Amino acid sequence: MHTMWKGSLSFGLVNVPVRMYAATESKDVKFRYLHKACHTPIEYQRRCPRCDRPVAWDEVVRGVEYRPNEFVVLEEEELEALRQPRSHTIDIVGFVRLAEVDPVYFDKTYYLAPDPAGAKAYRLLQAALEQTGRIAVARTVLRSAETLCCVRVFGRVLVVETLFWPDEVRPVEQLPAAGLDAPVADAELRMAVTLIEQLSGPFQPEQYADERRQRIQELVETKIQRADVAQVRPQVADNIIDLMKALEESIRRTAKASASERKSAAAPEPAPEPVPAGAAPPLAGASSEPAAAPPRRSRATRTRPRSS
Amino acid sequence: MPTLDEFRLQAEHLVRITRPAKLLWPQAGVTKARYVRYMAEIAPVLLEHVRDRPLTVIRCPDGVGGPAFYQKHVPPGTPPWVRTLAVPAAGRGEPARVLLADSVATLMWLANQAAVELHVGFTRIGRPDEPDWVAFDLDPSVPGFDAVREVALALHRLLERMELPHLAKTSGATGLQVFIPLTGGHTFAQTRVFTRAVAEYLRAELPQLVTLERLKKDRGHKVYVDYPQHGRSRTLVAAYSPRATPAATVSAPLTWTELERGVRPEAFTIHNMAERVRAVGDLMRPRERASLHRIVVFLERHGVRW
Repeated sequence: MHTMWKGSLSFGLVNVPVRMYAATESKDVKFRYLHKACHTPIEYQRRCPRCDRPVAWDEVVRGVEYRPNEFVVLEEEELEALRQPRSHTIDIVGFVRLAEVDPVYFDKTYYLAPDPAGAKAYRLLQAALEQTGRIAVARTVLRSAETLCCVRVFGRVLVVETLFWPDEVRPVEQLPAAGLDAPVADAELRMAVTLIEQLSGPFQPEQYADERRQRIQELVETKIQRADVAQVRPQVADNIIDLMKALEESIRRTAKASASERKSAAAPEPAPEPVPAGAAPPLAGASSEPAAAPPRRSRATRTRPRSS
Repeated sequence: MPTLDEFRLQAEHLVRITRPAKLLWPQAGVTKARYVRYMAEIAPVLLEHVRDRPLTVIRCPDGVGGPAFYQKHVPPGTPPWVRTLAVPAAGRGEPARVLLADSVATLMWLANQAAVELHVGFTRIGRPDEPDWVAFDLDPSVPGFDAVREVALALHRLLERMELPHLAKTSGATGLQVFIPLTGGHTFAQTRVFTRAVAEYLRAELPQLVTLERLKKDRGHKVYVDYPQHGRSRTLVAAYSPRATPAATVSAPLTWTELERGVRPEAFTIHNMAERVRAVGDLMRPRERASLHRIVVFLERHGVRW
């Protein structure tokens, strides 16, 4: 696992050095979009519709659309000045019961592994949380964003759950909720409760699998085995025969050149030429020179193995 | 004479052979015991071509003609002396262990597993991104070897003119494979530029014979030149490996003279391959290795991309 953050859990006077790892990963099948006709991955281009031309990244600034089509432009320096200094601590501010934090607040889960130097303090906090049945509410900075989170015990390890800020959880009052006040008949409620009790059992997530993903992966595997695959094959030069002739010619000339080179000094490297060309640049047939070689190389450097 | 259910053979390690009388190639009359003997006889040359390369095998537990499956990872029950290698998973997922065949004992154990075909990639262990072969896999779309031979000889003439050392072997089935042994320091990005240019050249030179269409339905009656074969995860049948064909044919290295004189792939089988090797030696052993660096620079300069 890849360490995504290194710092410490700060709890009163105790600092627990820890490393943070992502606890979950999405395994959804990743689709690429291809051009139907030739199966080439399609490209997206950054362009300005007004200037009618592609735009490079250094010509781009960020803006906030405060009203449709009206923007406040924020320069990179202005954003930089606001950026939180990278925090290296998860500051515990209090303790609550897990049941008090509604799952709607939970965003992402990260594992905390003890740094060898802090194994004892880590174990202490883990045991104390277990014994009290509490979880810690904490603040930290992750990926330069101020983050509200909680620290709890999962299995035998401490985990951080990042939480949505309260104003990020949409108020339920915004929901169309006609009928929520309708009366409930006692008999119906009893039946519903009985049904729930009958279907109740322990939570066993391993019973469930993403069947759609499995079916897609099986289909992909079958198609690979049948060699039913598309490969990007953009058009090569339509003068391939001329090109290969020029290549052969240049290999022949290089073979001769290297024979005469043994007597005289090396000739300068010729510039690239268009093909078909009467005289193609000579090649060092069996040598191994890096692609971007400066001119006027001696034979000794020419046989140096490629470094890449 | 009582039939043995099981016996043990001492190679570098003691190999247990179970059900030796089982017919692995029923039509060719090749039993498991015969296949084990083939492996022992052919090992000196076969090992040269599979050693140090992650192995993929095709197993036919009930013999050729029955169900077959690819196996790349180390199966349960693999003897501890069989060499294996941890390889990182292609995408997300756990690293896996793959088989390495580096001993006569391993080859005999594979024979006992009914691993009827041995396939290897283009790179050696420790250098998974550095191909040491370029290969062109010439595959006829309809039965018949003449078109394959004609394409192979055109490729042979081109590579001669380019002064690139190259070797040929039958695929053991219906096709032919042409190999260029490479010096160190090549990348797949480079070899792909080269194989693509050569394949496109063959199609332009022999448009009535050559197709580069991956889909079988689009190939017509032409010979498919499989140049994208040359990628990191792709494998080709190893020289001297048998194939899961009724006649127990073997992937046989050939001389260009033999090919010009009209040799046919069905001539080489488990029954005669070891004898041929005693007579002609290992025709797949590279005597010279090529560097493609300058050629690829030339091709890229002139707009060839893979």
